[in-house]
Amino acid sequence: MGKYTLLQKTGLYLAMTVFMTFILLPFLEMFMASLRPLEHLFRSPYQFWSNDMSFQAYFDIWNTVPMLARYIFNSVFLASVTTALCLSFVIPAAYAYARFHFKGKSVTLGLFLAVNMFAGAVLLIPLYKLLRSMGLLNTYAAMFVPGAAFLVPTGIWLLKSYLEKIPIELEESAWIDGASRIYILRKVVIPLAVPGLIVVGVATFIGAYAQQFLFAITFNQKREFMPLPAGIFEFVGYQSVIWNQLMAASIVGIIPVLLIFLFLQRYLVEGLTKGALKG
Amino acid sequence: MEKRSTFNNLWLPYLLVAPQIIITFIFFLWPASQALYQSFLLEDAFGLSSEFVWFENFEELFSDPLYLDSFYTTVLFSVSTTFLSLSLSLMFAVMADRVIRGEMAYKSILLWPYAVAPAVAGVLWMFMFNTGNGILALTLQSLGYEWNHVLRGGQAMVLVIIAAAWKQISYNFIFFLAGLQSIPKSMLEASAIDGAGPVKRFWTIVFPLISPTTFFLIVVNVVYAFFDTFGIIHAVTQGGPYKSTEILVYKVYNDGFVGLDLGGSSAQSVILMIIVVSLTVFQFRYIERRVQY
Repeated sequence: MGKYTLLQKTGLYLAMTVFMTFILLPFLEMFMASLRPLEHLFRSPYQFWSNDMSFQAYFDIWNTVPMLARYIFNSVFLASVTTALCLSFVIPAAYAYARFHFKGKSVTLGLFLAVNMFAGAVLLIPLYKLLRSMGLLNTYAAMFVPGAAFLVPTGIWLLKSYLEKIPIELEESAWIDGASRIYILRKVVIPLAVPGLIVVGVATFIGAYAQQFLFAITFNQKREFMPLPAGIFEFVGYQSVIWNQLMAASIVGIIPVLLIFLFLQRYLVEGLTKGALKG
Repeated sequence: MEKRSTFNNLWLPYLLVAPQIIITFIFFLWPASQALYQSFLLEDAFGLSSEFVWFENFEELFSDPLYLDSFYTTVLFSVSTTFLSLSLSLMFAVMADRVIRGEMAYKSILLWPYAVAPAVAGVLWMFMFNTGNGILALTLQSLGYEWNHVLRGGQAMVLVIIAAAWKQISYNFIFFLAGLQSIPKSMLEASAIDGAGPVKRFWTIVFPLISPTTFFLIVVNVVYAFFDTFGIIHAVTQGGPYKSTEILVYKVYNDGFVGLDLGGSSAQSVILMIIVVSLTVFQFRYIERRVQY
C-alpha cells in the first residue's frame, strides 16, 4: 500500500491539477480581472497578463459606490449579530437535549431537524407579513431575526452531539460539591465545549453570510442597511458592467470571511462531520 | 453504542429549551400555518377582499404549464447540481486521502468556495462565461462553440449548475474525507494483497463503506439545490431567459413578491414544505437505521 508506480503518481497529480483549476479559476480570474483596466477587459484577443495592470480599481471602488464600506460593515455586522444571537439560544437548548430526559424531547428534535432543512425562502410571504406586523421591515433586525431563527436548529443538532461526548462525571462532581446547574453550565460545560462552540459559530456565521442576500432584497429597502452581496450589484449598470471594480469589491468583501475561515478551519472540519453523522 | 448519561430534573430542561420552542413557533410554525391558510384563499393584490376557495389554487397550479415547467427545471437543476458536486468532491477526497505532499494546502484551498456568498459565486461564474470577454466563453468560442447564456436557456442552466455545484464542493469534500479516513486501512491492505487494483478496491470496499455519508450528502445537496441557490439564480439569470432557470423557490419569490399573486405563491410554498418534510422524514429514518454499524 502507498506504493504507486511513477505513471500512477503522474496521473494522480495531473488529475489533481485539473480539479484544483476548477476550484481556483474563479478566484484567480476575479483577482486578475480586478487588476485590468476596464477597456482591457473588452480588448481581444484575451490577454492573461499585460503591462497596464494596476491596483487602481481598488481605489476607484470607494468612489463609484460611495456606500461600499458601509455594505461591507453591514455584512460582517449582520453575520456577527446572527451568530451571537444564535449561540445564546443554541447553548442552553443543546445542553438540555444532551443531558436531560424530558417529555417531548424527540418530537421537538424532529421538528428542529425539519426546520434545519428549511430555508427562509420557502416562507417569504408569511415571514414578510410577520415582520411587517412586528414593525421590523427595513431594519437590521429584518435580516438577522429570521436568519437566526432558521440557523438555530442546525446549531442545536451540532452542539448536542458534541456535548454528549463530554464525560458527565465532571458535572456530577461539581454538582456534589454544591454547584447549581446554571453555574455548572457556565463554569464547567461551556469551557469544555469551546471547540464545539467554534464549529457552531463558524457554521452559523457562514450560513448567515450566505442567506443575508435573500432577506436583504425582500425585507429591506433601505440602502444604508444593505449587506455586500446585495450592494455589489451597484457596479452592474443598465448598459454596462464595471467588471474590474465589481471583482475588486468582491475580493474586498470575501477577504474578511476567508480570514476567519483560515484561522478556524481545523475545528470546522472535525466538528462538522462529527456532529452531523452522530459519531 | 456508548452509554448515554442523563440528569433528571423536572423543570430545568423545559426552561432551557423554551426560548427556542417559542422562536420556532413564531418564525416557523406560525408562518407555515399562515401559508397553508393563505393557499386556500383567493385574494386580490391589495389584500382588500379574500374568498375561501379550497383547493382551487392548487388545481390551478398543477394545470399551469409554467408551474410544471418550473418543477421539471427544479428537478433537472437539483439532480445535476447534486451529481456534479458529489462526484467531483468524492474524487477530490479520494485524492486528498492519498496525497503525500502539500496535503494541508490542498485541503485548505478546497474550503475556499464555502466562504463565498452564493450571489458572489454566481457573479464570478457569470464573469468567466461572459460572452465576448469571459475566459471560458472565449475558450469555447475558439473551439467553435458559441456561448451566450443571456439568450440560450440551456447554456444558462449549465452556468447556474456549475456555479451551484462549485459552491457546494467544499462542504461535500469535508464529509467525504472524514468518511474515507474512518475506513480501516487493514481492510484495504487485505484486499490489495488479494490482488485488487485501486479501482476495484474503490468500488468493492470504499464506496459501499461510505454509502451512509453519500446518502446524507445527497439529501443535503438536494435541499441545498432546492432552496439555498436562490442567490445564484437571482444574481446570474433571474430565472431567465424565458424562465428556463426559474426553479420553484425562485418562482415563489417571483410570483409572490414581484407578481403579487399571494394565493398562488402560498400554494407553491405549501408544496415546497411538503417536499422538505418528506425529505426530512426520509433522512431521519435512514440515519437511524444505517449509521449505527
